[in-house]
Amino acid sequence: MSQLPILIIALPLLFIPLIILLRSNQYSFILSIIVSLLNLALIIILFKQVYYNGDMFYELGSWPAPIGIRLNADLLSCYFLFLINFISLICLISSKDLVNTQVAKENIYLFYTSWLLCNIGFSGIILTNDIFNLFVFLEISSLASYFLISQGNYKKSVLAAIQYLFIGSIGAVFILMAIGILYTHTGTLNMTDLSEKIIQAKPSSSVILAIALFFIGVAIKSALFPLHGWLIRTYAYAPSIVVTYFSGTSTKIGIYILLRVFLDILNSINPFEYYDLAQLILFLSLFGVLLATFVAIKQSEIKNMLAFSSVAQLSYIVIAIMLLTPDGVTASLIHVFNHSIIKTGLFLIITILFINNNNITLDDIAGLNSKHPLIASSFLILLLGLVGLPLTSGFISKWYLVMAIFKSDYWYISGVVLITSFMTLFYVWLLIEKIYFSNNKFSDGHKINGYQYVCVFILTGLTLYLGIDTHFTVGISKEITVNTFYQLN
Amino acid sequence: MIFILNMTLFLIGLFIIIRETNLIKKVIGLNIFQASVFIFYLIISKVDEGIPPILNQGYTIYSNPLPHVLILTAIVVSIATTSLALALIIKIKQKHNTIEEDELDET
Amino acid sequence: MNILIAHLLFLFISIVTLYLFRKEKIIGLIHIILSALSFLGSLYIIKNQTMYLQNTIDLIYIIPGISISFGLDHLGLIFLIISNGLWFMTSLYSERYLNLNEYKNKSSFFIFFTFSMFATNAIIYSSNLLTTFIFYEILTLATYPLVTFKKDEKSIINGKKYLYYLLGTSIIFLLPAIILTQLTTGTLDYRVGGIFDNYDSLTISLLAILFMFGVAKSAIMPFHKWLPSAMVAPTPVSALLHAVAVVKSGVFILMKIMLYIFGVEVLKDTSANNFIILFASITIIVSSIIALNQNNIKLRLAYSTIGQLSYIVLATAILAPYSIMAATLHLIFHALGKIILFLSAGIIATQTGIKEVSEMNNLSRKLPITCFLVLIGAFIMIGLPPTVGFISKWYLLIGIMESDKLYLLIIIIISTLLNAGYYFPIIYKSYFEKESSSDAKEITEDISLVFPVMIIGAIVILLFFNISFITTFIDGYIIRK
Repeated sequence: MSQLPILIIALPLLFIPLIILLRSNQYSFILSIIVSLLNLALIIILFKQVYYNGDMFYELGSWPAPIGIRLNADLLSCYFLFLINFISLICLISSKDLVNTQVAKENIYLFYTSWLLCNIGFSGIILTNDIFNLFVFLEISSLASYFLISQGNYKKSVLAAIQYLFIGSIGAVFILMAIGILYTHTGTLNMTDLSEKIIQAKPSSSVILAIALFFIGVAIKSALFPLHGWLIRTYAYAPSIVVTYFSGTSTKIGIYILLRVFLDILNSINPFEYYDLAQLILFLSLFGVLLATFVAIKQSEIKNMLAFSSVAQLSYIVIAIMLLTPDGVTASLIHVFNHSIIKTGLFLIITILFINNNNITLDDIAGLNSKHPLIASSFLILLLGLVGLPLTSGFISKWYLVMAIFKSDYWYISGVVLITSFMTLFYVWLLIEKIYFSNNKFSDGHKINGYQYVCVFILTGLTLYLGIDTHFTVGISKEITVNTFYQLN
Repeated sequence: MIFILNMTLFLIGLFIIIRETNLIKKVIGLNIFQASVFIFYLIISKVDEGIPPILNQGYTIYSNPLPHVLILTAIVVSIATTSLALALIIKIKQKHNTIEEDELDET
Repeated sequence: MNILIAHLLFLFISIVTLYLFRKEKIIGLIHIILSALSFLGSLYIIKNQTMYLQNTIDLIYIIPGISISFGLDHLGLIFLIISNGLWFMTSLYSERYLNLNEYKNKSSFFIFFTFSMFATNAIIYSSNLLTTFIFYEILTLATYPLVTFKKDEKSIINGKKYLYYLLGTSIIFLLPAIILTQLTTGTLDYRVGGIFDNYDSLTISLLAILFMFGVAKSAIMPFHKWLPSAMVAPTPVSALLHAVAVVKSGVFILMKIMLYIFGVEVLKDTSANNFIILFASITIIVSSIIALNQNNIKLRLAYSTIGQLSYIVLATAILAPYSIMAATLHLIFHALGKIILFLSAGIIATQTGIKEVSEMNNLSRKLPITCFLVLIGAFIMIGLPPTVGFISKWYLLIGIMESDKLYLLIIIIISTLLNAGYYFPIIYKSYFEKESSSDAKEITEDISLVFPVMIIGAIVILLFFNISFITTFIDGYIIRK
């Protein structure tokens, strides 16, 4: 059982050669689903173990911790691990027809290979307890994702991929540099060890430089405002199922790194206190929410609209974190989960409805209700969840976010948060009006297969369920906050 | 002094990536950028009067071997990035018949 | 099983039933039966009220410490019987009305109508603010399809306005108010005497303003615009939902917040009620002035509703025993009176096509019963005897005397004059004005349309002569508790 953490990374790695050797489009799809299912099962077992018995370690090659590389599964890891792999599975299941139409035939097995590699990278980032390892896994997932993006059926897909590659690499090199500086100060790469030794290191200007570099790197990865440009471009040109996958995962990984590095490892030196960094980021994010919401209202392309909405929602998460209170962290964790589910659901519906993935404008979705009433009502529920109306999970997020803001020193920003959350209604309602009140006929006539229906319903159901029974999200988030971030207070 | 030189290299690389429009030049910039960090790791691994970390009787001070190992990994990553970038650029050349970014944006 | 949950469950099953039997021919009948059953259920609850009062049930804990929970109080009892009784009457009316006006898609109308009533009943039963908030939002969403029922350009624009006003205020004002309440007091339950043990006047005042604007269903200016917008809906919707269920839910929630969240003593102590009095007074006057200039009958009634709702809010905010009595009474009487007016307006529009006040010349010749009902309704609104409107206004005046806010008398007098100013032309025109063009078309009143309205009219008249059982009930259970 103690092998569980490494299995989660190793199992897909074992399947990848098989996929490449078989070179079969059919089998690569089936194999990826099998391995994802297995992986999710392992993660659930791990989650249970960690929840009841406490953190779980795995030392690679049995080298003890500060010298060897250690995998460490605590509640925070399991929470994100579960989320990411769950979304990956959902997207894989509904990917079949989409990949066949959007990706070149000869590349399909490579597409699934990259998908798995990307997911391995994500899992690795989450599980590793070695800060250099984190960089390596980050690069694995990034390289895989550049490939995934380049497979889009747009002429500009490759261009979007290489632009993301440059930006992503800059971020990665920043992180690498920061790791180097931290290493000079502490002489260790093990996260647990690092967090203890960093206190003794004198808070010199180079530590501050490291913090700044690291933060910029993470901000690029998680598309924090104002470094969100790549996200918009990427979401517009990548294969739509990849967009669906990334909407729930890749930016959330950025949030994970942010939490892990800044609030866990470096927490002992209060990294956000230098030059009022937290306040700066907070107000930048606040501005980001406003701007992204305004821009989202103006969009006529649905995926762009949802992408800007993602930027706004991510800013909410960052705002919650930058309150630097236990309540804020709890709120951010809740919102990470809820928003991932909702946004993946929204993108998934758009994805399965428009298999050709051409420019999907508001007019294209008109009349959806008469053609696919069930999909339309799912879409409605997810959109209402995005606004944060009661009985959806979005409401729970908003409740905790506003509560955290009220409890903090920044109570006055609650006005902006509430008003922008109301403004979400503006663009949401543009969609709803098109779906329910348009006389246009819904044009895209292809069939949606049963698996895709099930996936959409699972996500919609979860949105409702997590809005009513919050034991999982709220309970785990509170536990994580107490265990990982604020155990001293 | 050597740190300043290193940082200069770092900034030159970054500048090239941001400033250049030719994709190949950008890749070169990226490589310079990454190389500067590799060199940074090598600098910090140097211990005063230390010798290369190979067991040798008569010497007690060795340079730190760990950053070298780390940088080996990072170089692999860097090569993977470069090769992927070059592959993507070939694709772009085939599709758009240009690799100048400002021209690409117009198409 | 608890009867309140059973009632809500019944309403929920009703929605499902209506969905399953969505045949245009029979759905109206099913709707009538369901509403009758719901009415009987509420009568049963009233009869056995002692069993169910102050007995809350926690359904599920949404947020640790705060649950969706249902209970019943005396104020709720009153609103319960009003809304369910009038729902039954309206269901009799609306089947015929929709047929005469040849509306398509009746089934979705009845489904969302029942859905709205489900939400209204849930608001009545909810025993903490979070539950109220949840069903408040659901009510907004449930009535939206009814507002946009005609699906034309105008109704979509108005529907959007309706939605943005109601959802916007609830998100921007009501939600933070609830969260702030939860933070300060640690509970959201309605409790006699309020839940604020330690308080400072700044917080209370802030909360009072947030709540007042947050519950925009009570249509206090400047967030009243949604109500005129909602008038694009078919008449039964305007009548039951936008004169009774929805707007009264708003007022009902505000009353509950003032009495059971803040508590009379706390409000008096901090003088936070002055803000509410101020805005309610402004609303009363301004809405009456706007109503004077409205030619469309339904719009004039809508602005009248805005004013009358503020009467109720104002009366509650005065916080004197008799003014609370007046508020509760007016909650009942305005519902009865306004529904008569709206349903009559619907009859007039259906049978003659008249939608403007200026066209109503000598209408009493054609529609004698309807015009008499309009007369009764108008008298209630103005507050003239022998209608019940007089009684509530009487108590309000006593209440003002009781308190130290005598200047409010001026507002009441001005607004009464204004009320008279926009209701008398309707009466005058329909009874005394000569017809401009002699329209030879003979119209007989459709008895199945008029019948439910007549019953309500009869009840109103009867109530005037036998009001004591209501006043003792209010006096015994709501004021002196």
